[in-house]
Amino acid sequence: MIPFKLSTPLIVTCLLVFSFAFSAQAESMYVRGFYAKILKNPADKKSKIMKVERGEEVSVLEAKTKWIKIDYQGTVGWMKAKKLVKEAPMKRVTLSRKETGLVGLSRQRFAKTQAMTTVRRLKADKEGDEKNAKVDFAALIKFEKSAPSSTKAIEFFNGAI
Amino acid sequence: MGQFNRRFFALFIFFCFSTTLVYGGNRKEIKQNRPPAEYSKKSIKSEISFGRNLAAKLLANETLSSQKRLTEYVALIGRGLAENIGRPELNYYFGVVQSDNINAYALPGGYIFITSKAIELMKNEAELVGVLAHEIAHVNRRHVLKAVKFKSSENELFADAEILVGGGVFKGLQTIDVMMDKAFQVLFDKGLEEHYEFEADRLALDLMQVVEYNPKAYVDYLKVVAQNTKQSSNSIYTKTHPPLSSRIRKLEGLLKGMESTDDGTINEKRFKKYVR
Repeated sequence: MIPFKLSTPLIVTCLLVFSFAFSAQAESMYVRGFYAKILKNPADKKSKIMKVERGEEVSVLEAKTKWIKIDYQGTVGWMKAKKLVKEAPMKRVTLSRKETGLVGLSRQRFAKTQAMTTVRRLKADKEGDEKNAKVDFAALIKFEKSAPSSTKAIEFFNGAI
Repeated sequence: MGQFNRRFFALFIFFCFSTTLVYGGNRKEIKQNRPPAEYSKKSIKSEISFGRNLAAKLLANETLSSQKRLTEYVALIGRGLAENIGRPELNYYFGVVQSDNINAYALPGGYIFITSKAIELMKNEAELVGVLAHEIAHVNRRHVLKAVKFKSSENELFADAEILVGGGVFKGLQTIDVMMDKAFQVLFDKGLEEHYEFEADRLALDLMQVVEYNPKAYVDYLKVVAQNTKQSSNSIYTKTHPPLSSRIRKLEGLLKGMESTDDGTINEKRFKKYVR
């Protein structure tokens, strides 16, 4: 049995260590969207402290249903819960040239399979099969190339907000 | 002496327990705002590849709108919106399909198409943002991929699709063939299951709030679509979507629970500048 005189500081130390460990494990969240505002008081738009850009990491201090109290590099305030996500944003995934080539290859294979499928469905509606078998990769590439850049789109979209 | 120790021990346990409860409660609130779990890079490539094949098929059967100003506007709004609320790992593409049907299609991997007739019924940018947010939600949650799955788990589903990227055996090709057929049927004939549509509706309202557009505009637009599809029970929109009345009812219920539905961008002026 630990004597009372010893056990009291021991328990206090344990509590302090536990509290410290708990605070050190503050949950991280990440800003979604172009930016999120830090407000001094929740739902008070006029109390804006600063804007934080997309993907920035914040520490969660307190969570309410619609608002989260955060610490961003020493600035403490409230952010809309909808503006924060748990996972760090993933990097953009694109198909490499080799893989796009393989898409082309799989297209050829797909065409072969379609031909076999057509044979399988000889009794089926021929017109429908022909329509289903058609693919236009040239149109797709043209369509992909015509897409605006992300920067241009963000600037345009931001113009409305 | 022993009594004191027991008291402190009980106090300590109580402290730990209550802290865990409070912390756990907060975690639960945070969890509600979590996006879907991430998948491997390989699976995402498979998804993009599958979407590209489907988009190539769509483009072979449909005509893109020749109205350059309109298509540029939709592409800019769409991509700007997707950069905000879409999955950061995907490049989203937005196209306008020339059609008299009211519809929009969300293909896997971020290929989104909306018909010219659907845009014709819109009054402002918030309505367009609402519809595009609904389609982005379908992509975010991989609804079409889930709808064409053969096996229960998503890993198994992508194991089938991965053949598109990595080459494969005949069995795999048959699988892709069937998946493509199924996906096309889902998009143009049967439609997605009701719960996917309801989920995309709910998420659309949520996403509109993230980008600070007025979520009420989306519900207003669906009401206009309901009026326009009332006469034609055989329209593609009616065939591929659950009854609009039940969707509107659910959305109005969600709007009631929102803090403020009068706030948010509408942007009628810019919309009218590009859409005539």
